[in-house]
Amino acid sequence: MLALASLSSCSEWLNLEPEDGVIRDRFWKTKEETHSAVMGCYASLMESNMMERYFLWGELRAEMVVPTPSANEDLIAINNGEIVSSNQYTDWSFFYRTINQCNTVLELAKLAQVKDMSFTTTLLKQYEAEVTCIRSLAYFYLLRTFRDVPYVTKASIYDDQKFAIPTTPQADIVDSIIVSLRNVENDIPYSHTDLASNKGRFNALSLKTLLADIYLWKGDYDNCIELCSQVIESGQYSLVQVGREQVLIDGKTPGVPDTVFYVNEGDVSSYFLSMYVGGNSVESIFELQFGTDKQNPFCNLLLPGGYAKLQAKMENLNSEYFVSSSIDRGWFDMRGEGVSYKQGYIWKWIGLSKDEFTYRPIGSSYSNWIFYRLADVILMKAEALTQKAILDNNNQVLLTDASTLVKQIRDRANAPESTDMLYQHVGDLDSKTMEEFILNERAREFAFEGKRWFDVLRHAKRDNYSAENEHYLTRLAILAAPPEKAYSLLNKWTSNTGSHYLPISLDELSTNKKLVQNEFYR
Amino acid sequence: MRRLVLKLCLLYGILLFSSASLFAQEKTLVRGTVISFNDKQPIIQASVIETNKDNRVVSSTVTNIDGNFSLYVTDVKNNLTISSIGYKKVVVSIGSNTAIKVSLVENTTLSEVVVSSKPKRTVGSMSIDERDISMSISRLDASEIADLHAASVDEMIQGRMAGVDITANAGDPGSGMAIRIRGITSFSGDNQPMIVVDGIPLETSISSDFDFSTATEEEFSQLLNIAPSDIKEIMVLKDAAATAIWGSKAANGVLQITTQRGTISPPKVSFRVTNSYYPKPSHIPTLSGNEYTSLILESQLNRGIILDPLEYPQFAYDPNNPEFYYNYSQNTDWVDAVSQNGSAQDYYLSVRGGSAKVRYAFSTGYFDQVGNTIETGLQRINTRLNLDYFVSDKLRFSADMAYTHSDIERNYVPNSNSANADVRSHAYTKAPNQSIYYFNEFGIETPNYFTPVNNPQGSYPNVFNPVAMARDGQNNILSETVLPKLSLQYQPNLEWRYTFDVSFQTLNEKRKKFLPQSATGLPWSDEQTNSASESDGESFTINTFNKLFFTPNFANSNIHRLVSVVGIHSYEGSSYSYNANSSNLANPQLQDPSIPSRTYPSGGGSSPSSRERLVETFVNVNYTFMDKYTIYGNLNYNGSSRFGRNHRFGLFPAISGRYRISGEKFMQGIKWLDDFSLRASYGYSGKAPSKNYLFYNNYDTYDWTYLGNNATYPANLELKELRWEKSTQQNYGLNLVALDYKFNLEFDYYIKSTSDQFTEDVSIPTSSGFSTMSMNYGVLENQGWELSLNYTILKNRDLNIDLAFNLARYENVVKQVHEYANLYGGTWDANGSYLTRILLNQPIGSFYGYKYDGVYLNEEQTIAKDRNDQPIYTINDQGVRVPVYMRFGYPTVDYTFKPGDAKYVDLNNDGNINYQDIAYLGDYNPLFYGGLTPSIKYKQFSLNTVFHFRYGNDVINMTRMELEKMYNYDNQSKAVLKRWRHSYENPSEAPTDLLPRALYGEGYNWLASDRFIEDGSFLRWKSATFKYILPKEWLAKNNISELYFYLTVNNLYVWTNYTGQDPEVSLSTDKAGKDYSRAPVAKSYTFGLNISF
Repeated sequence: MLALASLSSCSEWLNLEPEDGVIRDRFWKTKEETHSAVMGCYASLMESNMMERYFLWGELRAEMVVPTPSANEDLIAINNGEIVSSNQYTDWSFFYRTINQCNTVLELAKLAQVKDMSFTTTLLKQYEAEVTCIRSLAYFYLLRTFRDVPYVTKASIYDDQKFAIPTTPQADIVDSIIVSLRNVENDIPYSHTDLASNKGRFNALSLKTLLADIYLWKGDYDNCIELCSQVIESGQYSLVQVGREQVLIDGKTPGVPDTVFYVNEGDVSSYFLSMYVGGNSVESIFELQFGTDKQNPFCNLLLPGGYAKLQAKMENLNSEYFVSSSIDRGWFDMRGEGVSYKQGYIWKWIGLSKDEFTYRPIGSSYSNWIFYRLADVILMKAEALTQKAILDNNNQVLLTDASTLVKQIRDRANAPESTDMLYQHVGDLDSKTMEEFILNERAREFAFEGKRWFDVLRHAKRDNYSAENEHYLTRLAILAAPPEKAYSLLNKWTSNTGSHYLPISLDELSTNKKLVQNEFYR
Repeated sequence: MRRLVLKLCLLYGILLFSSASLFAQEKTLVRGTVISFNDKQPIIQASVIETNKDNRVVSSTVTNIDGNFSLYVTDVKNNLTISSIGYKKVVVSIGSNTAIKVSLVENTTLSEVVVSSKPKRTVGSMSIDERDISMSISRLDASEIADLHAASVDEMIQGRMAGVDITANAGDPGSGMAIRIRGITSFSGDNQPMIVVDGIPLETSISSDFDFSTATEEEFSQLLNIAPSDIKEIMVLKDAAATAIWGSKAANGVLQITTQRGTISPPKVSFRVTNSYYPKPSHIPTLSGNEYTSLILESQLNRGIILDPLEYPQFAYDPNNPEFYYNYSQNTDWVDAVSQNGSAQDYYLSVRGGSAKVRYAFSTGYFDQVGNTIETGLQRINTRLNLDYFVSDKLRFSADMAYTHSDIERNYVPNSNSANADVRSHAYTKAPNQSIYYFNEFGIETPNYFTPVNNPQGSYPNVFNPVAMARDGQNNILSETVLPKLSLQYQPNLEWRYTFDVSFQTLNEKRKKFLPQSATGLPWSDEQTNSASESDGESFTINTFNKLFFTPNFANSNIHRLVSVVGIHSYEGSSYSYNANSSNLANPQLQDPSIPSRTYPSGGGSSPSSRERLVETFVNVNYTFMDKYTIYGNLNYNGSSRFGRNHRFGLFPAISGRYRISGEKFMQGIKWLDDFSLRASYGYSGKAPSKNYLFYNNYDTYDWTYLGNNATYPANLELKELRWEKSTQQNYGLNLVALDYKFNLEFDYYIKSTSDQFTEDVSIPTSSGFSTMSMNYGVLENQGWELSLNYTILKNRDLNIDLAFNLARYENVVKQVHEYANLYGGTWDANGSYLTRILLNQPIGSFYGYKYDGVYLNEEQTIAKDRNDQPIYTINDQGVRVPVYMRFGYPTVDYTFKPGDAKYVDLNNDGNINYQDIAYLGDYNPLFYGGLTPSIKYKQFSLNTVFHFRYGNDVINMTRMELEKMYNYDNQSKAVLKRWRHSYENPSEAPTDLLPRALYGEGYNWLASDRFIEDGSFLRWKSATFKYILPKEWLAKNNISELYFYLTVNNLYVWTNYTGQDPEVSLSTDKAGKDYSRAPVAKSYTFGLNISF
C-alpha cells in the first residue's frame, strides 16, 4: 500500500519532456512561431527529393534528356517507359509532407493568433493564403503525375486519426484547389517587401499564375486568359531583353535579300546570368530561393566530371528544337548551346557562364528553381487563345493575338526561321498548326525546366484524348525512348491512358489498403 | 562527466572509511600478548578486535613485533576476537581481565569449504532452494566455464544453454553478438535480452538515438564488457514468472551474471596469460584482372555495346597510354590485400580473500586483439573490486566497483545502406585489374594509393580503394564504463532482512571517424574530402532498490519453506551527446573535426539529449509445502516516463508451481530416481518502447533557412495510443534427476504470445504527411521447447567423463497484424530482391521468389511452352506463324528472354514470368538449434569441447548473388568462368554447373530465386581445450596453489553444405537471413597459462 501511494506521487516524477526540442503544446504561441512554420512550408519545397521530382517528373519521360551510364536503374527504367510500382521515383511522400505542413498551419495558426495580441487577423489570413498556394502547387504536381491521388486537407497530429484515405479523381482535385485558391485570392499581399521575398514567396500575381496554369490544365480557357492578362498587364514583370540586329544578306533568289538576325552576345550572357545564375530576374514570378545553406540536388544529377546521371539528348535538340537557320548559320536560337545545354550537359541549373565551360563546383549547387516566369504566362495565354480559336471555328482574331505572343518570345530568343512554323506564312492561320507551334516553342523556352512531359500530356489528353491529339504521343515516343523501346512504349501509351501517369508506389499500396492502383499497372 | 566520476569515487571512499571509524570510542585499556601454540613464538600483525554481542566491531588493533598489543575497549562485557592468517581464531571475554595472553593454533585446512546440501539460486534477489524453483531457468557455473577461453561472455555461452540462440554479427573484433532467448518475439526492433550483473541492470549502449545517423545496426550491440574469469555464475531467466521480477526491461528474457566475491581465506593471487593466433581465413576466389576484363567486354557485347577504348581505356590494355596501361593491367586480389593474420593476448590478474569482517575480490585484465581484416582490433582493460564489510552479524556493507576501458578499431564504412558497405565486401567486387598503388607513366610503382575519382564502377561512395580506406581511414570507438554499486543489508533477526542497493553507471563513448581523400579520390573542394566526425556520448544511470525480505523460520523446514520479498526499484537514465563534423581538412594526418577546415557541412554539430525514468514495485512469494508442492507468485506494478499519462502504469502478475512427484510415497521405492518434478508457470510481462518522448508532437527546425528565416516543421505524430507491449507466457516443464545426481534432465515447453507489439517506424500511408509512425500493433505467438541434459557418464578418482547436451526448437506465428503493416517486403520485378511477407498464421522470417531452372541453352528453349510442354506459336501481322518467346513482366516491363538467360519456372504456363510465378523458397528459423559439450578429465589432464549447431534454416547467400550476377562492373567469383558463352544446340553438351550469360545492365539473370538459397544447417566444432594441471604435491613445495597450461582451438571445423563463408548468419532487418560475407568467425589457436598462489 505504501509503495502504491508513493507510486502515484511518482507519476509526476515520470513526467519528462524533451530537452532538445519543442513540443506542440509549447509551440503555436506567437506570430514568430507561426512565421517559422510558414517558412517551414517553403523550406520543405527545397528538399532534395522534391527538387529531383519537379525536374524528373517533368523531363524524364520526355525527349530532351537521356540517362548516362552512371544513372541508376530507376532513372533508366522511366526513360525506357518500363515503369514499375517499386521505382523509387514513384514515392510521393515528400509532397504530402509539404501538404501536411500547410494543413498544420491552416489548422493551428489560429491558436497562436488568439494567444499573441500583436498577431493581427490580416497577418493570419496572409499566412493561410500563402500555405494554401503551396499546398495547391504540391497537389498540382501530384495530380499531373499520378492522376488520382488522396486529397487530404486535414492536419495529421494524432496517431488515432484515419490515415488510409482513398484517391480522389483528378478533376475533383483540380476543382477543389481552384476553389481554395479563389478563396484566399484577396488575403494575399500584392507584393512582399524585398525582392527575394517577392520572388520567393507567393503573392497575388504568383497565385494568379499558378491558378492560370491549373485552369489551362482543366481546359477553362477564359479564366486562364483573364488571369494571364492580369499578370502580364500588372507591369511587375518584363522579359529579360536581349538586343538583336537585323541584317539583310544575299538571298537564295538573286536580287531578293533574306532577312537574318544576329543576337547581341553580351546580352545573352547577361540574360543567362540574371535568369539562371543569379536568379530573381525581372522575368521571374515564383522561384525557390536557395541560399548558401542548402544545395539543390543538381550537382548529383547533372554535374560534369563523372557525376551526371542525365544529359541533354543532343540528337533531338539539334534536329527538332534548335535547328540552325538554313539561311545563315550566324542566325541561331540563343536558348540553345550555352543556355539550355553546353557540351551535352544540362546547363541551366549548373552553369556559371554562358560562354565559358565553368560550372558550379560540387558543394555549391545553389541555383534557384524557377516555377513560373513571365514567358510561361505569355505562352499559357497564347495556348489558351489558340484553344478558344479552335472552339470558335479558327477565330482569326484570337489566333493573331496568340501568334503575336509567340512572336514576342521568339524574337527575344532570336529564334531562326528554321523553327518558325509560320515562316513566310500568308493567309488564314490554322489553329492546329498554332497549337503545335506553341507546344514546340514551350519546349525551346522551358527546356529542362521540368515542364515538357506535362505540356505534351496536356495536349494529348485534351478533348478527352481525341484522336487528332495522338500524334503528340507518337512523336514523343519515337523521340524519347531508345530506338528498340520506342515501339513498345508507343503501344503502352496508346493502348491505355493510365500509362501516362506514374503508378502508385508499392510501399504506399501496401500500407494504404484503400488505394487502388492505376489500371495500367494492375 | 569526469568531474562526476571523481565525485562518485570520493563518495564511495568516504562511505567506506566512515563506516569503519564511526564507532570508535575508548574506555578501558587492555593489554596482552599473542603467541603461536605450536612454537611459542610471538605472532606479528595478528588482529585483535573488540566485538559486541552482535559481532559488530567496536575497536581493534594489531600486535607489534613482539606479539604484544594494547587496546582501549569500550565495554568490558564485549569479547575480544584474536585472529591471524594461518591460525584458528580465538574469542575471549574481557571481563576484568586486562592482561590477556593468547596462543593461536595453526590452521591446517586453508581451502574454502562450503558444504551445502541444498544449493540456492538467486532469482532476481530472492534466494530460493534449487529444489523449489518452478520457473524456467538455465545456468552455467564457474566450473563449467573456467576451462574456456573466450573474448566475451556471449561467446562463452554460445551453444551451451538451451533456448539461448547466439549468432555472431561478424568476425571483426568487437562486433558483438545477437542474443535471442526463445526466438524472435517481435516484428521488428529489439530482441536482445536484459543483462543484469550482480543484481544491477547493465546499460550496454548510450541511448537509442546516439549517433544514429552514422552507426550501423551492429555497432549498437556493445560488447558485454565483463572479463569472463570474473564470472561466478550465469543464469538465463526465460519464462515470464522468472523475468517478471526484473520489470519492464526484461520481457526478452534476462541474462543474469554473478561475479566472484571474496571469501574467508588468505589472499589468493591468480594470474592468467593467454596468447591466441588467428590465421588469415581463406576467401571465395575471385576473378583475376584478365578474366575480369574479358567478362566485362563480354557482358557489354551481349548488351550490344562495344566499349570504346578511348572512353574506357581501363579495359584497353594499351601500352601507348601508360597511365592506364600500368594502373589497369594488374591482377590484384583485393580481399587478400585487406586480410591479415590476427592475434590476441589476454592477461588477467585477480586477488581474492578476506577475513570474518572484510572480504574482497579484485581483478584486472587486459585484452588486445588484432583482427583478420587490416586495421581492425580491440583493446580492453577491465577492473573489478568487490568488497564486503561485515559490521556485525546484523549489518553489512558492500561496495563494488567495475571499470572498463575499451578501444575498438574498425574500418570506415562509407555507405552503410549499400551491400558492399564495408571494406571486405567492397574488396570482393572491386575491379581486379586496378592497382592498389599508383604507377607512374614509366611503370614504376609509387607509394601513393591509386584512387581515381571515378572509374567504370562509379564514384565514391560506391567506389573507393579498400586498402587506402582501411589504412588511412579511421573509425574508432572508445568507451569508458564506470559502475560503482553500494549496498547495505540489515538483518535484525533471522526472519527479516532489509537491503538497499544503489548503483551509478556512467558510460562514455567516443566515436571518431575520418574519411581520407586518398581512399575516395574526390576533388579537394568536395564536401566529403578529408571529412572528420566525432561524437561524444555519455549516459548516466542511477538504479536504486529497496527490498524487504521475509523468510520465516519454520520449525520443520521440510513441511514449510517460505521466501518472500517486497520492493521498489527506481531507475533514471539520462544521456547527452555531442556530434561534430567538418571536412576539407588540410591534410589526411589532421583527423580531428576541431581543426580549422574549409567546410563545415550543414548539420555540422548536434547535441541530442534524453532522459528516462522508471518506477517498479514488486511482491514475490515462494512457498513450498512438504517439499513436494511449490507455488510462486509475483506481482509487478510498473510506471515509465516513456508513456503519456493515460498509459503510464501497467500491472503484470505471474504465477508458477512445481510438483515433486518423486516426493510422493508411491515413488519412494525407486532408488535410482533422485527427483522428478513437474513445473508450470503463467505470467504477463510488459515492455516499454525503446525510445523516449514518442508520445509528444515534436517540432523540429530545418537544417536550412528560407530567405534567411528559421523554418520549422512537425517532426512526428503525437502517439496518444502508445502503450505497454504485453506478453503472456506459459511454461510447462519437468525435471528429472537420477543416478545419484549424475543424470540431470530438464525439459520445458512454452507458449509466448506478444500483443501490442511496439514497433518503431511502421510505414503508414504517406498521404498523412509522415511516412512512418511508431505504434503498438499485432500479435506474435512463439512456441517451442527446450531440452537440456547433463550426464556424468563416469566419475572416479582418476577419470571423469561428462556430457552436456541441449536442444531447442521454436516456431513463431503471426496471429494478428495491423492494417498499416507492410505485409510485402521486396518486389517481384527487380533483380536481387527477395520478397518477405507477413501472413496471418504464418511464421515471420519466410521469403519468397522464383524457382530457378538453369539456363536457356538455345533459342528453341526460350519459346514459351503450354501446359503440355508444347511450344506456343502465334500468327503475326504478316500472317506468318511465329513462336511466342518467354517474357518477363509483360506488359509493364516486357523483357523477352534470350538464349543464355536464367530460366525460371513458369508456374502458371502463361509464357510470362511475373508475380504469379512467385513461390515459397525458405525460412530463416531453424528447426533445431543447440549444443553439445563433452568433457573428459583424466588425472592431471582434461579435454573440454563445445559443439554448436543449427539445423534446418535457409540462408540467402547474397555474397554469391553479388559475385555471380555479371550485371555491372563488379568483380565476380571464379564460378562465373562457367558462364554461358554460346548456344548449346544439343542440351546434353552443356555443363551441369553452367551459369547464365554475362549481360551488362539488362535482363533478369539474378532475380530472387532459389538459386541463391542454401541450407544453412551446420555443426560447428566451436572449441576444444586441452588442459594440463600440474600435480598438487609438486606445487605445494614451490608455494603455488594451482598451475595449469592449456591449449584451446576455436572454430576447429564446421560441417555444413553451405557454400558461402560462414553459415552462421544473424537475422537481417527485413526478417530474412542474408549472408553478405562479412569477416568470417576465424579459427584461432590459444595458448594459456594460469598460476595461483
